[in-house]
Amino acid sequence: MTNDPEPQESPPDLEILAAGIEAILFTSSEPVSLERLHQSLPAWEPERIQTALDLLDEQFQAPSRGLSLHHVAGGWQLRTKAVFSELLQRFHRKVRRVRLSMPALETLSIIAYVQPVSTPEIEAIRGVSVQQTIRGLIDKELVKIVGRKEAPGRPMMYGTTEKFLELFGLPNLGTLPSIPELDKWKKEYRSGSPELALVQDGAVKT
Amino acid sequence: MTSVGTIGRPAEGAGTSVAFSQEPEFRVRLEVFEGPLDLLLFLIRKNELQITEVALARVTSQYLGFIGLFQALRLSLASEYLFLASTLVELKSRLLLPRSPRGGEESDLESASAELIRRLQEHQSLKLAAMHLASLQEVAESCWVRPRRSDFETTDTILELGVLELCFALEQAFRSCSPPRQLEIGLREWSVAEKLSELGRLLKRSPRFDLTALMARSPSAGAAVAIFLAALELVRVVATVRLLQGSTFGPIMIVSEEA
Repeated sequence: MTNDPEPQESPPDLEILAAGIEAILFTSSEPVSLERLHQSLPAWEPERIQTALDLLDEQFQAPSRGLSLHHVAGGWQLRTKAVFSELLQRFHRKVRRVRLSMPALETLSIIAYVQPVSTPEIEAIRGVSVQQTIRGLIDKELVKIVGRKEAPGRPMMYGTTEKFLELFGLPNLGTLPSIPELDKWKKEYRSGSPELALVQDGAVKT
Repeated sequence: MTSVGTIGRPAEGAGTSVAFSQEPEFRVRLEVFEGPLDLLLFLIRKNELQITEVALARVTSQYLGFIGLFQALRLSLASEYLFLASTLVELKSRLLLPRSPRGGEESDLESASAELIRRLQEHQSLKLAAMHLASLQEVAESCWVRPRRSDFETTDTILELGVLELCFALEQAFRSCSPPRQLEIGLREWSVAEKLSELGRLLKRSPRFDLTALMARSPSAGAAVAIFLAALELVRVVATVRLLQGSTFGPIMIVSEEA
């Protein structure tokens, strides 16, 4: 045995940690929070786990990898790269889809942006009854009751769920763009996609 | 509009299926227009206008046209549509008429139009936010995740059972649980003899008292009946005991005239 002058230290250690995290994420269908990773890997500091996650993220960006690491709903999740969507559809003969109608999306937007918000407040903005729509959103576990408003009739207050963040690929609610940002997004999006015109005319598939 | 069934654009499909329908309960849900604000915004956008007072005036007749169409199609029209129509007509008439020198009424209308414009802008932002969510969803959908159903089941046992098995299991469960504990409520018998001696005792203490009050105080109807029968028996047997009632349904007094 030769004595290596350079002691073998953290890099392999970090790689093993990254591999362990990959194994956890591979077997989890839901986003896994840093906290939960730390619970299962108590020997490593959360910062160290984060470093390993960053390493994984970097490695997954290689063109030879079909997955990528996503920060959604306050956790980490492995998702296939978007470019393989059609390939997967062809292979599985399935479409991954939770189609929401435009009315449902509008109601969901109000709840996402204004939460906690009550039915009368949503109806004041949308100008139509939304009771039915809210029920549908609750059934899909995108919206939940978060309390009652201290107002006449004590109406229910609604908020979005973790599943909402997951479905829309959002790390947290703070990442929803503000209204001015939305205007900017619209301009960029419109220049890039002729589909927006369709969406705007209400011809979006519902 | 809140209703059932679906059609695409109101101008087409709706006409053929609805116009001559005699069924008053036939209702149509318009996918395109979700409420009056939505319709108004659609008209403004279709005419490539900005959300301004002038734009509102310009689309007023189109808006009214749609209301007329809806009514011709016998679509149940939410009152908000009509309310918005009246606001629009009022705003338009104000723009067309020469401005009155007095400010009072106008400021009301002005605030109404400002409010309408604010709501339209809000509605537009909302549409934008919804579109943004739709685009996020589209992106998120093209990234597949591990399906939730896993081959690695937890320790929970999952049985595949049909209705019959479930019914059988239910029956077993009912059978296996101990039968409901039977509460035995002993029937307290009230004997007339017992009440007879009680009445005798009471009469000895006070030769005249209210029998009805005594019956009312008794613990059960049975006891009350026993008291009454005992009183009748007493009257029959003992010559000096009488029952007196001052008026119909009045209190019955029992009197012993022994002294």
